[in-house]
Amino acid sequence: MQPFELLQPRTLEDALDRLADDEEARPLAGGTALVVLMKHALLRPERLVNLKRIPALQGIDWSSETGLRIGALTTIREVEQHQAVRTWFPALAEACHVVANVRIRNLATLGGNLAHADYQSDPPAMLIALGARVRIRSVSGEREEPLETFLVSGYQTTLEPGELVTDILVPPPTAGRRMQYLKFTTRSAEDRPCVGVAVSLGLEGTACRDLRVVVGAVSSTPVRVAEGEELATGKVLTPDLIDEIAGRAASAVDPIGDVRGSPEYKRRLVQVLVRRSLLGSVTEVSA
Amino acid sequence: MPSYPYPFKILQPASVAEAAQLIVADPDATLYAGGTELLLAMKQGGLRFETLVDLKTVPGLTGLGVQSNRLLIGALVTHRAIARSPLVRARLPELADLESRIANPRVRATGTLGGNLAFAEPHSDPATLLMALDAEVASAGPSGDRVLPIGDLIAEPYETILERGEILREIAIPLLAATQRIAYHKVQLHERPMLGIAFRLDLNDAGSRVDAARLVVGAASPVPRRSPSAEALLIGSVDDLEDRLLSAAALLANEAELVDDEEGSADYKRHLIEVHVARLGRRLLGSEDGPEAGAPDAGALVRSWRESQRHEPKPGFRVVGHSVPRTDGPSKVTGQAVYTADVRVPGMTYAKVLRSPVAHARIRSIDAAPARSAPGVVGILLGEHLRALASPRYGHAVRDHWILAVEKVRYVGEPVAVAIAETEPQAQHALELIDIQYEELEPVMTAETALADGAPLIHEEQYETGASPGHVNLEAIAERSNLLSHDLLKWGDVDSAFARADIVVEGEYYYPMAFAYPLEPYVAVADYQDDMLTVYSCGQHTYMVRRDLVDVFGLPLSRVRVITPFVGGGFGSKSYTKIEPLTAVCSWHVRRPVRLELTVEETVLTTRSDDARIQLRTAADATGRLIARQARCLLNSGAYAENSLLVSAKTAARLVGPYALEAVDLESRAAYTNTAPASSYRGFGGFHATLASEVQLDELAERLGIDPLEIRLRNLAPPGTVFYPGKRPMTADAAGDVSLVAEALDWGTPRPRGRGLGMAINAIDAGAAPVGRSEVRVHGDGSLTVLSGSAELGQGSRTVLAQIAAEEFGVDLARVRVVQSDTAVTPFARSTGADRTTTMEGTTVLLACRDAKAQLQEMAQDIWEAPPELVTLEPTGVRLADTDERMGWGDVIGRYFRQRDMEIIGRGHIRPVGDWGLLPPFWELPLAGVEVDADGETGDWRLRRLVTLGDVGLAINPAMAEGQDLGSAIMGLGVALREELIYEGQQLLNGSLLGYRVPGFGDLPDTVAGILVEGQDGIGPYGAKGHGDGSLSSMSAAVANALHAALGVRLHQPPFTPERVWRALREREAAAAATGATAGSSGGVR
Repeated sequence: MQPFELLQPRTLEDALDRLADDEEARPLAGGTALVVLMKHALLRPERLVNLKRIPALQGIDWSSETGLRIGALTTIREVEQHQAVRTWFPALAEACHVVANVRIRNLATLGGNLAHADYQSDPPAMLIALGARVRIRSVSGEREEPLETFLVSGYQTTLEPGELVTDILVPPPTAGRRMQYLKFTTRSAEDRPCVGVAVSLGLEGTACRDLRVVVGAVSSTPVRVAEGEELATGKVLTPDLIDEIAGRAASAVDPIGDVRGSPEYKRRLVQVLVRRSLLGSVTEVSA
Repeated sequence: MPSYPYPFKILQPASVAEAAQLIVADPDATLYAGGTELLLAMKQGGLRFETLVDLKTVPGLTGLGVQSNRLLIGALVTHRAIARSPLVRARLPELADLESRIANPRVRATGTLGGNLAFAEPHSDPATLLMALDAEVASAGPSGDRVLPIGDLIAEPYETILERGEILREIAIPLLAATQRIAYHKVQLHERPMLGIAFRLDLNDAGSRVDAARLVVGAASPVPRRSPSAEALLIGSVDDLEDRLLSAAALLANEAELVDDEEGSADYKRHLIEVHVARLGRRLLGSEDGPEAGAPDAGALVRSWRESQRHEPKPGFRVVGHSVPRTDGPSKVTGQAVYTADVRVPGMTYAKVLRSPVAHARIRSIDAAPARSAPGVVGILLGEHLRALASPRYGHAVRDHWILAVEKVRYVGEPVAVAIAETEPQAQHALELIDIQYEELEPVMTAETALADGAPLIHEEQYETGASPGHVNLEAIAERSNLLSHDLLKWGDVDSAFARADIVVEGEYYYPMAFAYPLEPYVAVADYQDDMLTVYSCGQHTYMVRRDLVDVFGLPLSRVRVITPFVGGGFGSKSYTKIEPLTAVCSWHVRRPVRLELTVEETVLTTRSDDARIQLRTAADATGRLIARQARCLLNSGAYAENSLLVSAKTAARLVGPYALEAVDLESRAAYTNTAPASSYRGFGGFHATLASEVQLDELAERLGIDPLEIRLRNLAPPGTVFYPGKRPMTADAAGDVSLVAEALDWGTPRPRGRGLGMAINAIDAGAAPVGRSEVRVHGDGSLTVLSGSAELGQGSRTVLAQIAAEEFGVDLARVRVVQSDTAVTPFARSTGADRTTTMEGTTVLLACRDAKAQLQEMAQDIWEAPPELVTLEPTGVRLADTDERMGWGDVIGRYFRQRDMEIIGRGHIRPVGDWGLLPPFWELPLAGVEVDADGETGDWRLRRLVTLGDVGLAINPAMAEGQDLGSAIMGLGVALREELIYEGQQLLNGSLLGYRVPGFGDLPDTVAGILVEGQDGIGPYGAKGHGDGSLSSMSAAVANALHAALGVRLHQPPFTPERVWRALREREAAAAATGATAGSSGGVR
């Protein structure tokens, strides 16, 4: 690995100052992606700005009014184990729980995961299903954006040079909301997803008030199955309707073929997993 | 010592009031009771406090007593004190019982009830029961003292309504009247409870009516919850109470706000609430006893393995046959053990290799001048420098392997230049300054294209054979082509056998390229000085590495010293010579010691396993008796020969199986291609052949309507029969072994759809060359040094050889030291592989011990001046018959030489004559049985059960033998699951840590059984025979056969990825739909 300078700011302001107008500097969060890229000489930054010592980027807050705030430097493991996440967003805890292995989860951060924008990842799809937003800071100010538009393409976000993701914001779930995350791997159990399906279902009695279905890992960004979501609104999710939504999901995706599966197989998996996740969600309703 | 990520201070106030003041004054302070939750959260970085206000020294918080018919418990009383209190046990046994089951003894000894309640961890028991008891808590705080019902205390998870500075003082619990009954049940799978239910009934004096009830659920809910509606429902006559329990449970479950989590689904928890409310209700009414459910089955995998170990040491042995701990265990687990990567030599420099980016090209020019003057660079080695060597190429079979590319490159990743510098980063930097121009040639990437007419030649010149030509058949490959080897194994009249057969099955099977993945990548340190060479190698075959180095430099054997420290895993990938010549030539070039350590990615490019495409036909009669086999095998062996000639020959030979065939015609060809060199991999030829052989046997059985177990039992060669002409008769009870595996799998019991059993077996001609020698030095104090040329790869040879010597001399293991694999010190060992060390090196150690004992016996005759017949050997020394005088081994040496600390040397050897002349020395039976669970919708599957069997004759160390076989099976499972090296064009697509996945803990079977069969029927020490290659060879075939049993599809090409299984299912559906005959019946697979 090329030698580099390590800067260790203690405040967010200091970090933003150091990143502003310095194209040779890169922010370092958990390092699970960045350090690998550096070891393979795919990236050769002259300076790394370590964000791990900045208290403002840490921690998880929950309130029933404003929902969840997750500091960008919170590790995937912390999110997975946090009681409020487990209580109010069990599927987000699950989507974090299935990331890689415990050694990675103890290092990798949620903000780093989103900013890296690797398309083969679990948390983004679930967070989009939950309507998450990201808060972004730079020396010139602060902005917020839905995660759905923040992710532009594989390894591409709307982040401008000098900007940092500071928080991930998840609105509070409506009462009785069902949510699921299903991950399918074709290689080792701790592999990146071949396909990930995130579902968030709001109910009015037994009927669907609103539904979000997001398919991760098959395209350069998570894919929302808008057609299927609309189909469900106002209706009871019968097995037939679920089959139809699953079919729409399969045709809505345009999977990338890779070592984890061919486009054809991934399309099939999307159909099966959307069906299973919706069936799982409504079984709870009828119980 | 506990470590916290940040410093903090502890204050110890003298009163509750002072504690409250400290907390109010400092926003970064918190209260500290037992600390079991707080300190854990702080250590994990989840909570940060600068100041802890310790309540343990505050007086008045640790009382325990009864007042006004209430049990009063101070907030700082520990769980253990409550559980053990005679008062609590007499007056409120339910609480004592609950407290005695919290967490573990360490937590109970320090954790306090008050701390537990104030922390409000949702997965906790006490609050749930206390709510059902109408307990109250008393607190003191800045706004004064108050008393709260416990249900009001806890607001939400980890949140109480206590204000800052308010401190819990006491818990008050009304004692139960005779008419009141309470019961508590918890369900716990992991660290904390998943569900707790407290149930109280207050009856009238007659016991006929419920006057009041409490029903509380905890752990499954964010905070403990009472269900007033359920409680109201329970009031009324006891006669029909049972009927109302289920409705009450449903109401309680609604209160709990159940969620799906890793503990269980909401549905499951709801089900459990219904079950346990009903059981607790019946218990309170006295209509059912309350036995607690057994402990959860968390360690099923480990337990199942342990339970399968029914080993009993053979009588008469002290050390052998016992699972003594590995002698190298402590140094390895503490990181003290020295591997090659740990070796540092004074003046050492570092090498990095520049590798070819193209698969097949002529080197037009190399400009290394800028690199030579880069900082820290000591030298740049290029192919042109090799001219001054005795040989620029090496290779034990064919000497075709260029140490560094000369004129041509033959695969992506081939070394072309080496930078040697003072530091590794400097060497890496220098590589970037070397400019190489290539003229690309047409690459040949598959064996089929390599052997096609007009294919470009990969090697233009004819090479000489190496020092161990083995199977080289130069005649067969005399014509210049890409054919590396051609083997033909024939006996009997195949044509007439196939003509006579009642049934013939045929098919094509493909076993992929794989990477053996030792944790330690290739690494070497070389020091060339004064025409003497010393090399630290991670190779398995220390003495074969020496031979290649001797040929490269033209030095005598005595001037080349190769040392193999601990090897970090070999699995065949470290057989023969790898980077040692390159490292040694670097040192020779710069006259400094040089260290070269490859990355994992470079290691994959250095050695992989051969793939094999096998077309196989099997002929049988109507009863399923096998008659003949015919096969055409083709292997892609990569750019250099390495050991692929033997791999190819063994692939053909191992298609015979453990079956007596009348006639065979088995042909195998290996081809050079422009891919990474292929070579040994644990059990090579075995796994290639077993896939084809054993899957096809199941296909034959299916066609004949015979059970797969039965067809094997009908055909397995009985012990002592010749089934492979010219080879040693069968050395194991194969049918008995197969029956044991079938029994462990509960073979024959019908399984539901999606679940299936499969097994596979083969007979492997193990043992490599039966030649070698060992020495045992007996010291003046009777302790022993065993000198063996074999290497310790992690397989345990250092322990096993010590066990044999300790057994022979009747000494403790602690008095034996084994010195291994240093050509300047230890005697010659041919290699470490092919299951040979225990059997062959073990025999030479045994013979060396007996030679030394014979010498000691003679020396004793001299000391005692006694005739030979009067001096006899005893387990720990010698004895003089007429006087019954005894001497220990050390006494004999001391008295004979009249010198303290003198010593003698015993020697033992074997050579391929007599009993060792008949090959193989023993047959190894890779044997595995599996049960799979398969998902017909996605094609996903996992192992429910794995059974391996090692027919080892005698296990010198049973625990290590079992561990080795289980490891082998999991290694084989890797290829069945997903391991496969994939070439895309000229490039290896997945040759990296991230791209190539081996099994993880999540892939392990639910249960495993490791069976050892010890008939003491081997040729090795005490009847032992090797089993290091183990069950790996049978795993892909066993899984393929089980997947057929589960889903009805046949797979011929591992890895059996979910997608491949799904495709097979879909093809079968399509075929069924096309024929129309079974259109309706394919619905079983959705």
